[in-house]
Amino acid sequence: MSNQLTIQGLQCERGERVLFSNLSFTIEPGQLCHLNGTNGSGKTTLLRTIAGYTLPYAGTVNWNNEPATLANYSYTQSYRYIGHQNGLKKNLSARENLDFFKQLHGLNATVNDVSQALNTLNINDQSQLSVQELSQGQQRKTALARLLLGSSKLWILDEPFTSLDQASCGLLEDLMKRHLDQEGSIVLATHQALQKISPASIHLVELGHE
Amino acid sequence: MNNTFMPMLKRDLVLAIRNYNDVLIGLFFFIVVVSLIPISLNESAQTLPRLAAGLVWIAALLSSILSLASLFEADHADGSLDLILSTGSIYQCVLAKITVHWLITGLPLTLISPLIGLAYNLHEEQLSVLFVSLLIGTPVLSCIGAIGAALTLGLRSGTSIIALIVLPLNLPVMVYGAAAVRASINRLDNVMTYLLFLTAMLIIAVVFAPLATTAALKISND
Repeated sequence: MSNQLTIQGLQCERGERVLFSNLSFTIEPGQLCHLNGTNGSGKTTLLRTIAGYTLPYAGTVNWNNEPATLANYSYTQSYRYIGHQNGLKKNLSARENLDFFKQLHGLNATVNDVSQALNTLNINDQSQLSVQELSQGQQRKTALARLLLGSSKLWILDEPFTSLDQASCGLLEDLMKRHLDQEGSIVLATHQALQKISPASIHLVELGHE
Repeated sequence: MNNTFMPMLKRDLVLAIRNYNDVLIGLFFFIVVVSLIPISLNESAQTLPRLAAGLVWIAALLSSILSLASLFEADHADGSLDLILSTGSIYQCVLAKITVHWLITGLPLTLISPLIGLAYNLHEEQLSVLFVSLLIGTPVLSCIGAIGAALTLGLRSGTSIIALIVLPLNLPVMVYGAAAVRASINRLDNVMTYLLFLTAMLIIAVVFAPLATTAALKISND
């Protein structure tokens, strides 16, 4: 299986305003698609369209030549979406949140895998605290720990570096690099320059330049 | 496709227990409404039972609507809804959320309804009809309410619009639920007919409401 994300003639609108039109590109395994653009140029809308949450006005998004929609179970199983909101319940602990995610998505990750994900992101010590007691950065890292559960092929990341300190930003880049090395692919919207990922594997998409 | 019903049910129950205030508010609202109205109407003990059927059902409906706004809103605001919508079975998730809504609103007031009925001077047989009608009817209120909550998700004046959408839709449930109790008070023999009609509504609501809610959620979570 090739695990290819193909976007063809995509047009998205917000309200009555056309954000972008006739957008086409393909992401192969091992590639990172870096979305660049000013505020309001449609980065989040594009990411949500790829994840199937927003329907495009025109054009198609395909995963392995099948429509990438919420109804396509094999597609929703293959990606992890980390949006602006962390998708965490404030009254549950970091571990409970991850356990819930694991069960909800039927991942065959063990207790150890959850600990390992928490460890990798250096939040294992805080994993029993309820999320509302964690700092913004720690909450972000808990959300990002979802990337390490199960084996997802496509990471859809919307400003993942927000509220992370410098060391954690480096850590996240390392994780992204490892994911690309394992033939995974990434769609990323960020204003931050990527330092550790080789430019050869980055596919830059500029939005908002009509 | 994996089972998403149990994890969802478990999570929402844990959250409900940790935020038990929200659960108690609905129950106390119900108790206050059914206690205040007889005082304001100044009815005698002989006429009170005639009021019971309608009042208890209206209070149950209002109490159910009170907590509807938060059914999907919290998940929408913190991004959890995205995770739910990308699971294999959104239908099961929605069904689990409706079940929890009923467990924390409909069930508690059903359980205390015999006490309320006693205060309204109802007899033993009428108490059991009131109890059974609420037991069958309140899950329907949660089912229909979920559709309204999903449709109005993310709107600024969501709470008030939910009431406008859901109140008329709940009319049949209220009519048959209250009619069953009234029939029992008037010693008519068609109590069973009304209860069976309620049961039919319950079956239809449990099967179709999650479908409609799922579709509405996908649109609202744009």
